[in-house]
Amino acid sequence: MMEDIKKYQKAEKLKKQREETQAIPWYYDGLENLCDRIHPGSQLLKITDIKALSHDTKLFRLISAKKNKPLAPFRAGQYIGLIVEINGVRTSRPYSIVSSPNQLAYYELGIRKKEDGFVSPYFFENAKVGDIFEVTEPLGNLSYNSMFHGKDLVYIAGGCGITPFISMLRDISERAIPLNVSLIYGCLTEKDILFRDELEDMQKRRSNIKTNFILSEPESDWKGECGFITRDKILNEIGSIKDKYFYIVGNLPMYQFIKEEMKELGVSKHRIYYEAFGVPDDITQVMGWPTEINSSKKVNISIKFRKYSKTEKIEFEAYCTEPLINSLERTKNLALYVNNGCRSGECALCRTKMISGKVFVPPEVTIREVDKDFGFIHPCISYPLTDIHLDLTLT
Amino acid sequence: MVNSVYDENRVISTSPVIVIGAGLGGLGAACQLVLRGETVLLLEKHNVPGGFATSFVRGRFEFEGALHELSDIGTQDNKGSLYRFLERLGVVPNKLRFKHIPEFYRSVYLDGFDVTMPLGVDEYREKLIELFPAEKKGIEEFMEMCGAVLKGIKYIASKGGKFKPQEVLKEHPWLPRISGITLSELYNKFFTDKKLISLISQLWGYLGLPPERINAYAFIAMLIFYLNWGAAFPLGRSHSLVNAMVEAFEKLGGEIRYNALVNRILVENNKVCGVELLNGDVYKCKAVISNVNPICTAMKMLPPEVVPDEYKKKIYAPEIGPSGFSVYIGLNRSYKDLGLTAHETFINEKYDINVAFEMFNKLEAPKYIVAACYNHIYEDISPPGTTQLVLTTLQMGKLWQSVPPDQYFHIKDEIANSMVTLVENTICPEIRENIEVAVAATPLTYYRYSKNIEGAIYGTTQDVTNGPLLRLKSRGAISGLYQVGAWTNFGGGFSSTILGGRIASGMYLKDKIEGRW
Repeated sequence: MMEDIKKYQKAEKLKKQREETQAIPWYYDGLENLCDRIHPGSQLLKITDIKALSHDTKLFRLISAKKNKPLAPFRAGQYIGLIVEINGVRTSRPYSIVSSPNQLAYYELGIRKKEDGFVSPYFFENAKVGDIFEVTEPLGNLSYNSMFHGKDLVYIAGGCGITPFISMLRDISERAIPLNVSLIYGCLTEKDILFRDELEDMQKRRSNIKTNFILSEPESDWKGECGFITRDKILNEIGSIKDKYFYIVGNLPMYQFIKEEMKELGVSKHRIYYEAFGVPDDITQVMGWPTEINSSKKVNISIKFRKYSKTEKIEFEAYCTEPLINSLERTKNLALYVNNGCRSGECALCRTKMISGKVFVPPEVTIREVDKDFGFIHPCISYPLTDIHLDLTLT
Repeated sequence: MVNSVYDENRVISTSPVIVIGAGLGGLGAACQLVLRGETVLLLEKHNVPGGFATSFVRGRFEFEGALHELSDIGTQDNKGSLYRFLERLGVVPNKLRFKHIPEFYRSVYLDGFDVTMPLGVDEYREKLIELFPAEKKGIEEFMEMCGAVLKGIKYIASKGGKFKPQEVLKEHPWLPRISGITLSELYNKFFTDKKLISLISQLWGYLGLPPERINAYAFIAMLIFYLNWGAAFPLGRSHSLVNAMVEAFEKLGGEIRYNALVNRILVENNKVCGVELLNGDVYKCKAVISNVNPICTAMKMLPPEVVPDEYKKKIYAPEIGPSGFSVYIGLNRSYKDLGLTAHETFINEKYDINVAFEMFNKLEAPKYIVAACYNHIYEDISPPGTTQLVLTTLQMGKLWQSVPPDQYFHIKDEIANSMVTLVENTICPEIRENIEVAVAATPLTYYRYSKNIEGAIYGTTQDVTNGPLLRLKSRGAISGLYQVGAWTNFGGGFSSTILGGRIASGMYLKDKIEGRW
């Protein structure tokens, strides 16, 4: 027994010795560099090139605006949140990276002009070479996951939803990754097809990549497939659904259509990934929307926020049919930017405390249980149904 | 007025004591202080409290971020000390409920050896004897020793730290006896069967060192606490435990502020006088309790000239422990169909733990992983018909320092994939075809959220010279500064850090009364 006690005394002595012989250290945080490269939080980018991709879509090439700061690596399929200030309103929109993940000299974004949109028309008309923008680090969960996606992949894209797939296909093609891909790309007309030459070229060069264009409103001289992306067309293209993994990128009406087709095909839920598409164009069309709410109804939003050491309050009106974050951003005298990334309720960057009120959140969005219990919301995907009281002093 | 230490115009408030970081240690300290009637400001850099005790959403799954089995909760007739602390805070029984985990752990080896160990001292002993009848005598003595250690710990706790070493030596000799030896040295007194040793040691991943290096006290205390008070899991995941504590803290008058990253601790005449946030805001105070790791606190947040060289040496002398590598998996099938029969399953390639430990130093497939499947006791943790499975192994964070940024995703995917393969080859052959969501966290991920040096999840290792008795104490580098968290007091783990935070509060209160600063 005394032997053990002696060992303790020895350990005590050893500890002292260890402390004494330790050279005076200097601070070195070894993971800081890698962390800063992979998760820089935000990046400053400069436009170096703008090119038309189609009649309503432009390709923007962006490099790092800081000399010694390389761009963050990303997984093919990820997006960045582009932060813009328009007439004093600071807001952001997520855009998929089109360029290959195998080079980090630049990112390329394909941005389609949405006629009634807020950011894309501005960006489309005003952005010019040399402009500097703040963007988020690469975000998003759309990417190849070798743990379970398998070897046979089906990409289904609608319109501008092709952008992440271009990056994914470039990656597969450049590194000759042994994955079999069937791309089914639906557009309105022939002139809406983006990256057509490149896709056709890739198909020629790589036996594992197959592409098929389907036009819903083709001109009379179109020789390819027509109509919607139906189950028959999918099955015709891929043969069987066995061991296939499906990635779907498009807009809400397309998702609603494809979901039915997938169900009919018998594809299990866990073999499909639907990329977040931002907020729906018309929230009142989303399942679960309380139909008794008039779509032009306005509610009162009151906000507590901190300006230096003082807590201030403001009130303003907001439409029920608009996400809270948009109304917040438009309140210029608030001069407060709610951090955000995905604008789809996924990334949780905009998490905010709601003291009182009722919001509508589309049913497919999952919010953490504790957040529900303790009154936290994601304003990017929350629609105010009643008067709302928010506390921004916490955030 | 110009002040050389801080900008007077940026002073937001003055409070007697500020706690930096709403991790488990910081929350433990902050809650204890408000219980004692103190005015406390708690500053948290993130937009959620809890540190590692958190959850996140992927698809339709909300994953538990860190907690496997919470110890020190107990039952109504045998309440653990963590439960009693939560009771005083008013968190239990009304604001938070626990589910008790029926079994201790399941242990699986690649050669097919597969056994589920029960909780309870007697049940555990009987199961061991049933499996290793030849070692009956040693097992009985070993468990008796564990019981004696528990008595000793209870004795010290009842004395509130004021005990005579002589008395402990006489009445509870096992306590000092196991304080200076390794777990292997302790095993040698009782048994030799490699398989038995491996089976008892399964929890070694909770501390991060193999039996040949781990302090016996640290391991035995953990083992006996689990056996005596059982293991539990809070409904709503670990984050509901944290949120309930924050709510109690605020109710008792405490103030918490999120997105408040403290950049500097302000010092005047070698005494703490406030903190400055990254955005320049200044909060004045007389004392700071830091839940930031002591290395970062002393070397980065304090002005370099005020930290004594002895303190610098002291915080750097112990070895920095491992970080974690986790894969969070949502399965589109019930755990019952998949044959996942236990809450906590340790999967081993070999019986020799040293072989598994060596892998912590390589960016390769691990040989020891823990698979936590929460649905058994907590059906609603994922949607009906699905399963939440979290695979975890340990890895030295510094390995990732030399990973080229463009290789990061590739290495991450390879290791995550190998962990799924190990599960495929042992407890769940059908795992892959049922995965709906799978996302990995590397030491970089742990680093990113905690800013712990090397992403260490348990702080410094609990080797022989750095066990619970010899670890860094709460009093920090200078007067008025206190340290909490896994790097101090009892070390890592949920209840250890929360209750360790209370110690720092006790010291603060004592120093305040004695007028030390």
